[in-house]
Amino acid sequence: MDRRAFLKLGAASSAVAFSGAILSNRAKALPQPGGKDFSPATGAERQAVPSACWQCVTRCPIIGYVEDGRLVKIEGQPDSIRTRGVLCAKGQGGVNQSSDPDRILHPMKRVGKRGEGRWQRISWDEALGDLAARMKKLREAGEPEKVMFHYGRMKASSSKLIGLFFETYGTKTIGNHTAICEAAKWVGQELTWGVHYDNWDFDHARYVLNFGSNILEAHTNHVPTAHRLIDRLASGQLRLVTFDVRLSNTAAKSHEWLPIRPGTDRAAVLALCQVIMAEDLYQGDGAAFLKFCKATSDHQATLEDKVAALKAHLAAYTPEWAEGITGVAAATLRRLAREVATVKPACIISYRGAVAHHHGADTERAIQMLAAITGNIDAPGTRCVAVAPKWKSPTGPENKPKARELKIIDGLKGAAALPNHHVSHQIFKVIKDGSAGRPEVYIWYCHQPVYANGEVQDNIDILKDESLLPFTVCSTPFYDESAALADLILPDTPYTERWDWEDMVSPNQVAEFYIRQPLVPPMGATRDFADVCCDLADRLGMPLGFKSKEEFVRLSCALTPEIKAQGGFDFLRAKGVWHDPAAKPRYFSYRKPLKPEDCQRDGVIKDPTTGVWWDWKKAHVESAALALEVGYRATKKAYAAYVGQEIDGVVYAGFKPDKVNKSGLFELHSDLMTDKGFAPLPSWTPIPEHAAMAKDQLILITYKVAVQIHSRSQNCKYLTEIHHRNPAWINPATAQEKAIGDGDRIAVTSRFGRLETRARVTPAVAPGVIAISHHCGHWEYGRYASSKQAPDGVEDPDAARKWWRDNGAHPNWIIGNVADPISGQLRWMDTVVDVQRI
Amino acid sequence: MQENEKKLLRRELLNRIGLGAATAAVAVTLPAGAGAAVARDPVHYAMVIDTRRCIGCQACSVACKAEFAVPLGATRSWVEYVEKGTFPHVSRQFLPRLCNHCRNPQCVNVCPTGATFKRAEDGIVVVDPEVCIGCKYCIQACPYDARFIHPDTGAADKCDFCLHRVGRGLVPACVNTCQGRARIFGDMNDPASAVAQLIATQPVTVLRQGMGTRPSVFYIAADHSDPRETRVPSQYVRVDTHRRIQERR
Amino acid sequence: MCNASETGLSRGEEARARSGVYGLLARVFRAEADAALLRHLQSPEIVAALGRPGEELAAFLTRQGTDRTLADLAEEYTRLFLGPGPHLSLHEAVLVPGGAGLLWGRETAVVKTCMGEAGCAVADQAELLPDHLAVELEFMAHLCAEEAQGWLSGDAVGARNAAAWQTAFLNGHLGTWVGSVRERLEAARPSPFYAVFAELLCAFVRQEVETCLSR
Repeated sequence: MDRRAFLKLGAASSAVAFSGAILSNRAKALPQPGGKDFSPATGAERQAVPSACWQCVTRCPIIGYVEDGRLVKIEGQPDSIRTRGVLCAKGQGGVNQSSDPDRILHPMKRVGKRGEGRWQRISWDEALGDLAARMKKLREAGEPEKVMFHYGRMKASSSKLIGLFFETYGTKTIGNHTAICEAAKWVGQELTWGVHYDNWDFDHARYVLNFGSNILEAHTNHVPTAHRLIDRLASGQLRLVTFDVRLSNTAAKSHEWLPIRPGTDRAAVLALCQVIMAEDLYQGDGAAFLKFCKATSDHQATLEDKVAALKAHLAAYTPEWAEGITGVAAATLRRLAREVATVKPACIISYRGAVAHHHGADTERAIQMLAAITGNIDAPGTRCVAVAPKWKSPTGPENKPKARELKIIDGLKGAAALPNHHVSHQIFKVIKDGSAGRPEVYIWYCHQPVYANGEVQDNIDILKDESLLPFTVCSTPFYDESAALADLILPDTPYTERWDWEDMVSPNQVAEFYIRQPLVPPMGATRDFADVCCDLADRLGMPLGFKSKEEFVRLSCALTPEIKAQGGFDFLRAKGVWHDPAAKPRYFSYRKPLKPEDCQRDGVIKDPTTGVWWDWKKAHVESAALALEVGYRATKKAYAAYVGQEIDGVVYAGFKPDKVNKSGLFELHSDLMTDKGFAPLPSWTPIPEHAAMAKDQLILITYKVAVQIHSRSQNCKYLTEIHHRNPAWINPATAQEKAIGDGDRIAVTSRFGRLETRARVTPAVAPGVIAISHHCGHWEYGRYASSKQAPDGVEDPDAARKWWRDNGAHPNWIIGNVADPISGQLRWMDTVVDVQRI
Repeated sequence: MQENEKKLLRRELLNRIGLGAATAAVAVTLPAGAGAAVARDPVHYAMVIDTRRCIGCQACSVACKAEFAVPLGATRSWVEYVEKGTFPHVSRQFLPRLCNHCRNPQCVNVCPTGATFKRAEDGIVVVDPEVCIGCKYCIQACPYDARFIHPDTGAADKCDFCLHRVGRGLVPACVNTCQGRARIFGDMNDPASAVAQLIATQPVTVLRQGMGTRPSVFYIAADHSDPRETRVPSQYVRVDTHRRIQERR
Repeated sequence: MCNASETGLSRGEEARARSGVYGLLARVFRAEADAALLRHLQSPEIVAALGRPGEELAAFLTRQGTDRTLADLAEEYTRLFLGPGPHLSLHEAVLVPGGAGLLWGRETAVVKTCMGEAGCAVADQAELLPDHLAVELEFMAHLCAEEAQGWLSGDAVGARNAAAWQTAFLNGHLGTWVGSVRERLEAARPSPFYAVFAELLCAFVRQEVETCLSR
């Protein structure tokens, strides 16, 4: 029956009033959970503007409320399938961004020496004229690569537009921040299932096994997944077990907290795998999934061979062995192995606590292995290949130069074998070393190279040195520790004043499109750095084809078919979010067989060594013969030409590689690891510093709290009022050994430096450890973060009410810019320290 | 808008907004023979906080702060962390707190001017800053440390259950943002309401029951441990208030 | 959402009509058919609106005399939905895929709370659980009526709010298990009466889910 017929049926039936027989009603208005707000003072309705948050990378859809031209409130977006109307503290704290009294509102040029703190306001014309002239000179000299652009966070339309600008200019010397964040996790995933985002499908999970993730306080897809997790947890739908060195809030809500020695999660995971294989608990879902796995060097191995190989490899990794390393009882490990293998579906999650270590990428591989042998991959209720909206956007000028690159973004020589996401924290060391060249213009955007990396003193020393970095520019809304050392500051808008289309992944495997739009107009003379890039492009005589981010977003809405069909830019401006109501959640995409024509296209051949079907033409190989001779694995960037994976005579979509030439199988066994001199299957390697430490030394770990992000939210007074100090957590037994009492002043010393702070003696952390949070110890970034007013800071009545003096301590001074040899990940959790009462 | 006008509006708001809610309700006509009509008791707003659902994220604290631009140093709503135990048997529970809108409010009892009163139409305890003389008697009297003197008005201030939202059919700001949906708000006199049903069927507790204040904020699964009342002297119990007043009152 | 030009109805009228469909479906599954229901189903507008299923239904209903038909339908309702013996328990907690399959499950409590927040409760004399199919359908009828009232009285905001409630309830509850109802009912070999209404239930709810999402 069609719609019209139903409506006729209904119209005829409503008169008869069949309903009303069951429900009683108090004739009360339906309460509205959100989507509106009113002024407490006048009762007037506040103007609602849908947009997207940017306090963290989750980028939740939000609604901003504006009153008399001021942003007064931010709330969740009830129409979002990702967040369903809720929002975290950081998101709520975004109201402080636009009205931060210490914002930089005008371009500023350094006066005197770097770091003196003396500035002169200049016009945009002068600022960009100068910058464009320098960039032009380098390009004309054939050295555009000497312009280095280093971003901290840059996503979606910002990433596309700004990336286009630098690509059109001709430089590939582009740095990011991934290695201080999650490089180990991503590389571990790129080696196994090809892409780096895992979504955790809590809506359907019945068991969640957590290694070092504090998802209820911080995560790359925080609110969308955290609120789903607590809902199912609190209603008794799932069991949560957490391995963590510290009782995080996630561990506190878990059914079980397993304190574990720092950096030993991999041993625990290997033991769980050992039990599962030895007791044949892989049978069923695990065995079915193993068909799509590579467990030996033979991509055509039988299930029996794979099982035998895994059993042999894991044989020594018994729970008894793991107990000695991890401190977790063997009986517990054995029990958990049986639980995770039999309670289905199980979602195995992991983050920095497990992977920000030496060989952290191998820990992520081990966790992928655990999920694989229990069949908990890409199925409802498990860790799934994440789904995100696919936007189409303008591609800039037709003819772009072949971009050139200074090879300085992958860290010191030998730092990382697979620096898929570069080694950003070693950039200053590499520049100081100079053997690969140095940039003449160093531009950073939405980044804090001084504060966010380790070895803060080193960062300061090198950034201040004009002989190493002749000209430095930053685009930032706030006067932070890095901006304080720049030559030129370009005032960026906070996210509350700019445009974007957004594309973060969904928690439920259905993509959601959404945008960001200004809640208030850019204040002062601030400009979205993307708009600045459009301006620079014109000055450099290389117009990009659009004049602003707003135009870029508008064009993208017209180019993206799904959005165009709904009404394009105007539609999305009004609604804020959209998803396809007919879309089905995406699972099991790896086992979709390809159509015969996909493998018959011109250029597509099979690689006999790996079973991969790939397109040699797309990989820019000269001929099919050459392609077969050299082979898929040895052909540069062949992964970009991947078509499918042949298994038992059928070609499947498989697990598409993203950054490395892996096959389309889920690679437990990686020849790429062998090539680089590491064990092919996930293996235990002790952390060198931990094996060598003295009995009375401690291991320093760091962590995040719910109300702050790493370095960018401390100017938000409402957030910093809650978390501004970070006393170091020490277990009572450890504290007693060192005669440290609660609240005592202590000195924490590593090979990189010494930090003074206070002790918080608590049983909520394992012995032998000292835990210091991020977010504190600012010495710039405005009066709320640091007690220092920025140059050009304005009056704020609240400033007089700032009641806290202690801004805490910054652990990065004593943490090294030391890389995981596999992925380049900064090893946040490995530092060995001496701790004394002072 | 002139200051005086603003103030008049505020008072009107406080007095009238509750009535507005009742009359603006959409009337659904039900055919005769429909389910039993429920007798109309006066509305009495209450909140149930299910701490099993609370993850201590403080979204509610910040939402409240932002909604009212509460000055630094003051809090209308906050979340305490209650940590206790011996390694490795350690627990940390979260206790969201706000004015309890007591049914026997101490603040109202002691107020010399009648500036603070409990509204008859919905039970919300409010303060009229125009009448308040800032004597601070109520600040002392409140057993829950829920009140403060607002630096701009010199008057007492506290949570008002988001009267300006509730009167227009919106849930309070803290309820709106809560990730765990741990805060449930509604009319406890309506047996069909979620709050009434939870109060009737769940083991609920209130803060400082012995004070006789009869709060309208009820907790499910709250940890009422307090460092001042530990049975065992060496027992570790720590309460973090996350506000300027670092000791819990 | 269908706009006025497509269906010829204003938004208020459309919401009212949808309320009528839900109400009718609620009636069919709430209890045994009675003479009033049969009369309604045989009226010309209903038969016309239903199209082919309407003709099938009409044919079935007129095959025997009214008394005979009512007796058969009563027996069938009991056999299908009440027992004794194996029967189809028309409750979300029992039939939702992935659920525990028991009465008074978690879903029942969630639905009760949701209805409570909207100011509705199951009247004592109805003797039905909150997640019974008829109750959920009647709740949707109520929400559609609220929406209609909003449009017709110029309260667009109230209307949209009611629409949002409908979407949430369809996606979170009713929409998740009607497919199960139809499947299980088919297996029980119903008469054309219940077969037609099972189809209508499924088809209507599916359309509703799609329409609500694009509003």
